Amino acid sequence: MEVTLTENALKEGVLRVWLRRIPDEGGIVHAYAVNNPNSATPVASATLYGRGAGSDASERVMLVFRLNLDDVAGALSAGDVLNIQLEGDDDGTFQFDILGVE
Amino acid sequence: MTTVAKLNYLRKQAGLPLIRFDLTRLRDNDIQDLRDAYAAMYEISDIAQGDNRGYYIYARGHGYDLDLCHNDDRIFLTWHRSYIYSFEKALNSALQWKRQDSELELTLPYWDWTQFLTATHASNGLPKVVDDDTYINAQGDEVPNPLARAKSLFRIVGLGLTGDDQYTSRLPTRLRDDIPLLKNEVARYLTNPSFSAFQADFNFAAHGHIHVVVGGSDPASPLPFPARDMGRTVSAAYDPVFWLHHAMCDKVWADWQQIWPNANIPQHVLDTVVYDGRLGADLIDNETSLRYIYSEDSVEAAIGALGTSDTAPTAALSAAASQVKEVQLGTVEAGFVRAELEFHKLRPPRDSFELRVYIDNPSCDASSGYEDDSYAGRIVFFGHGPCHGAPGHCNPDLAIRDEYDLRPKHPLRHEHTRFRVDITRGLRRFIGRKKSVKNLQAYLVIVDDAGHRVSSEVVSYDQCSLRTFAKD
Repeated sequence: MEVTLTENALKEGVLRVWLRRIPDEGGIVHAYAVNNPNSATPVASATLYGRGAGSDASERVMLVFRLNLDDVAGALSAGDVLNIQLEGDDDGTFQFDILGVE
Repeated sequence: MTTVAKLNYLRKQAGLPLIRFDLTRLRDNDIQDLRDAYAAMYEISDIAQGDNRGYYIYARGHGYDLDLCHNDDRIFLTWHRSYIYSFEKALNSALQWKRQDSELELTLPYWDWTQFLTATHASNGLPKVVDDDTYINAQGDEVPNPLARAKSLFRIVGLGLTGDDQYTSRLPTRLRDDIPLLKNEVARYLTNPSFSAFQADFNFAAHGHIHVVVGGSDPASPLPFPARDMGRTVSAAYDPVFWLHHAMCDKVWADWQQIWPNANIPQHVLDTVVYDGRLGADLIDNETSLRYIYSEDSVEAAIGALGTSDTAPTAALSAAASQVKEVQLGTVEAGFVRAELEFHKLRPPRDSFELRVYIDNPSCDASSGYEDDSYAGRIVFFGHGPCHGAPGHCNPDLAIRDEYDLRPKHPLRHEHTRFRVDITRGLRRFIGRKKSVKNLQAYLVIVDDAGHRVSSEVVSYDQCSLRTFAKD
């Protein structure tokens, strides 16, 4: 799923993606720069602590992508499109129900 | 040796807050106390799943099957502070129960996951004391380590798993490598003066990261997701390391509070009632309200600061219980508007009974009924029934509550109970036109739910007294 890198996120070095409800699934989520020549290497990663099948938990959750500005300096700009993907979900079937991006 | 549990007991006697120490700072005896406390909680749950002193009762609150958490991310910190506080008190109560020693105040140590020391940590990044499957006990036997895994209600009842699959497990493949990252992350969070921003970043990054990396990635997991127990909210709290992880999370918050003492806490956080019915506002100041603090120092340093010795003063507490059928009321003056017979520290009985009061009628019995001239009043006790828990479940003397233990009071508590029988009309009828009556005696008849008289011993109390109220 694609999200847009905000100016604030680039400035602070942290991209925050809010999800509407804590999903069943969990794991490591990677962000790839769509237009980056080295797009196979994630520019940042976040942790998703999911609720697990059978849980009624309903709170919103946030993916906190810590941009490694030393690695991506100059490589990213505000407005860049990032593709976020759950590790192990090679088919990209898991859909992020995004509430907002900061 | 003065253990952490004994040290904190002495600190409590001195009116000082209890100390939560770094897990790696605990000595062998402290670790054994922790193991024994966990094991005792497991034992209670094994005997009676519903016993509210047992492990299951606490673990189920986070996910399977009560799911009390994770409906509002804004109260993450206050909810978990309250949650582990209650667990810590249960841990101590369990240790007291097992050791038959009430002079203990075991606290939950914190697992500092920003640190790795070869001497204290396994190669996977977990502290050895929680990672080792077994340990050598005082008798020299190799026994299972209660800190390594626990039976999970989610696995047993929710999924129907059997054998070894009933127990939690971990797969911390990447934990060791992520420790430097976590250290940097925490340092970053502590620089944020905004409570909401600090909480959100911490909750969804470092805190969640530990859950995910300890749970690991396991496509062959017997759980309905490709991870082990810590990896999902529904199952995480069954893992014994959950509590030590959240003690660290609470410490990080406490550290942040030290740096930003004047930070504004959102009204929603203060006003929201969280786990165990505690108000958010009552959870902000852990030292004053909850009577505990954190220390990065050694236990020896804390002992030295207190000036303790290995011999702790003891005070025997006993509550004499007595029950009498005949109650001496002494001299009673007329002119009262209300008269009550008051029973102090009455123990709620197991079975249901009716207690009837007769004035100056030593020959009263079950057949005397309500029409007898000497009948003055009654009270009916709705019995709590036979104990359905592990030994000690129905004994409120094992569940003393004070400012160091804010858990709900034991339902069978009797320290401050005052049961009253209104005997106004009966007493007035007996006194008649006299100004006073000397050496008045009341007689108590106790009948069961079939109307048969039973021994007065079934209702136990410390004292019975007459209270009369004059007209204003």
